Amino acid sequence: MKSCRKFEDLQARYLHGGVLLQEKESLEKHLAACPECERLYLEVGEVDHLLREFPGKVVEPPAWLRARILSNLPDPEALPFRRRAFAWIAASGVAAACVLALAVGLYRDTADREIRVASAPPPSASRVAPAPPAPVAATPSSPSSHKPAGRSPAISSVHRPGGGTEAGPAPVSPRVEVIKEVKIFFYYPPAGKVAVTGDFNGWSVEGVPMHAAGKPGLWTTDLRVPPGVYSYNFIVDGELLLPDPDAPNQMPDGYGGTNSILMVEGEKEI
Amino acid sequence: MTLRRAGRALLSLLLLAATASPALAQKTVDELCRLHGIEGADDLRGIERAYVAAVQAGISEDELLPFLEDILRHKLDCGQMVKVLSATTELRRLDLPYFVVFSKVREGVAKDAPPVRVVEAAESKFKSLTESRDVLLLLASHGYGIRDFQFAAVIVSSYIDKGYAPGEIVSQIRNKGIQGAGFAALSGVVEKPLKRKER
Repeated sequence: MKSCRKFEDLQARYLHGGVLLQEKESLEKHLAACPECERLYLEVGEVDHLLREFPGKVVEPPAWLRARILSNLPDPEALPFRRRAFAWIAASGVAAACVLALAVGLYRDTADREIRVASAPPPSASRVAPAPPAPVAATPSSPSSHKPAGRSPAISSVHRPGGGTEAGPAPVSPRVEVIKEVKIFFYYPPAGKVAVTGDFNGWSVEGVPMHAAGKPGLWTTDLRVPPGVYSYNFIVDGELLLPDPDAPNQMPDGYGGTNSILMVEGEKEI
Repeated sequence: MTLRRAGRALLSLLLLAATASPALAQKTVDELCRLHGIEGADDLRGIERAYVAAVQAGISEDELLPFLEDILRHKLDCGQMVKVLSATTELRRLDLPYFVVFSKVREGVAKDAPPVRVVEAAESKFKSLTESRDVLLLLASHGYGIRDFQFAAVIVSSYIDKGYAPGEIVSQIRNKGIQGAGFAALSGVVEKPLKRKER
């Protein structure tokens, strides 16, 4: 019986010449020995012959066959629902996993950033470098810089045009980053254009532009930086880098030149 | 239809997740290096490895990728880049202000210093920062309070750059006090130990 089943499957292919030689031989042997399979083969062969003879003919199935087929189909309402449910469950599961992975990634990314905070410190205009008696040195001082890593999530901040920053949505316990305003002067009459660059702006090649301060040859600008120690130089006419001759603290820059040191005192956060 | 939509959403999420992955970062680094003429497979692998190590140490890619581009533009070779990246990674691991090295390198770029000098300056800064850590830990072991370790490390490293030996800084502060020893920049950052009676 089991072997008959196997040969039934082979018959269709056999009719269309799609069996291997070995299969063909065993099928033919079986058909010679099994009258039931032989009968089936002849019936199927006849139908196949008819179909080949009238390839364009549309054969209407009998009514009972249509009813039987339809009755065996799954519920048309239930099937889409099951599929939808499966799709949503699968998609939700994978989406949750992705969101979790993203959250972990973002946490790792933000955990090491400092708290970007809000503040509206009184703009304290001061002359460059209130001269600490000791030598101080080149220090970039990014707002994030001096903090131990991985403490709190970032809080967005909004800069106020007048000075200082203003908090975004109220944090639970805000730490306020202090921004100080420092006025810098540089007297250099031969210059046609002066900018200042240093640790506070990542040694940008363009620098912070300075403007004429009234007196011929005197240039000035306001820097808004958190308290810290900054190395800086003036950029004269877009090329020449010069230290500040009036800065009380100077230091070799390690590149054969000199850096001026700007020390902005005060608490970095309140 | 629903399956297709779910598939699209899933694909978007996967793409989004991939943007944060080191694999994509590596691809970006690879492209960036090729753009600046670094083609050797070993060189690329070395830089990628150093970059991924820095990210894994906790340096944000927002900082790292522009920095890498800066040093590529300045024509540091592979070995030099790996040195600089490794120094920043190590500083980050020690919870020291790695951004000081970024700044020192950018200063060299702004001053158009030769790549060799840039790396020397970065390594010198790395050395003085690690020594400053020892100074601060020693001071802390003697009861001094360090209010802001990273900031204090930057200041102490500046004194070291200026020529003070680490041991000299500690002994002078202990013998003469912060102001008396001439380390005024440390006042407010390093606090003298409380006397026994005050405790």
